[in-house]
Amino acid sequence: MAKNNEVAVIQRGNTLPTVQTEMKESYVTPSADIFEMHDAFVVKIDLPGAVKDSIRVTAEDGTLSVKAKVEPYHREGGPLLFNELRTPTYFRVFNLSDGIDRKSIDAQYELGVLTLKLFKKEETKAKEIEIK
Amino acid sequence: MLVRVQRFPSSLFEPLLNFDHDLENMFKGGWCAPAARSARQYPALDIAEYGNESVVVAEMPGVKKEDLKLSVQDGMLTISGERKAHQTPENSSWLRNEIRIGEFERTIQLPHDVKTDAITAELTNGVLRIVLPKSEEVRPREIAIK
Repeated sequence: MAKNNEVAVIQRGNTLPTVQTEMKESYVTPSADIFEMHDAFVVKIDLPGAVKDSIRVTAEDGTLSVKAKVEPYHREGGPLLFNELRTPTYFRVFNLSDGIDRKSIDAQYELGVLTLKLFKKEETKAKEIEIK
Repeated sequence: MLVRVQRFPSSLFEPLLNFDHDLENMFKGGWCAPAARSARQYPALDIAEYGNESVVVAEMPGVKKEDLKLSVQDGMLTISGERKAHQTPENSSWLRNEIRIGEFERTIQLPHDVKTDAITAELTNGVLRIVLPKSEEVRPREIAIK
């Protein structure tokens, strides 16, 4: 799982964080939800079949990348009567900026869904401005 | 609700067989699973056959055990359930929403006679694995030559 010092930030941009995905090898782009709270961004990524220990979350050069491997679903020996699944390597890159505290990122994996909580830095949190 | 039976091996007629289902979805405007966008049903699944059993594997991330139901009747296996929405705190705003939620149901024809009382299923890391042991009559057996 994510080491604390490895993970980072979401681009606050105009409204939407920009998302881009590199396809170097045969990767599958997992679906993701992102929502913003007062003090953090939450990213949820579907990684069905991924084993927790195979998930790598890395922050580097302003990007947050998530990579995970799925072990084969079937043992050797039997014919596949029906085949819709792949046993992919999941890979997805999100653009990040400096607004997030890289040292406090929380990563949890449950039910095949990875949840990353990226806390904002104090100065990027929304503040109410009092009208004098 | 229209229940469509998926027979295998999947045939050239699959697009035609899917047509009524797609049409229904088109007008219903309801939930359309990611897999269904490519004229497939949700959940996507594999079926592998071994000597004494078959194994059905289906991907369903975010579905809890208690929200999932399996039933076998008349040689048909039905997988139904619901993926519930994330708990989003108040005052949070969505920036990106790709993950589909909602109810799903899929019925498949079992590949062989199954010992229904010996079926086992487990849900791990968003993947459902159902083991269907063959009934005695259809198990492969060696015949001794006298």
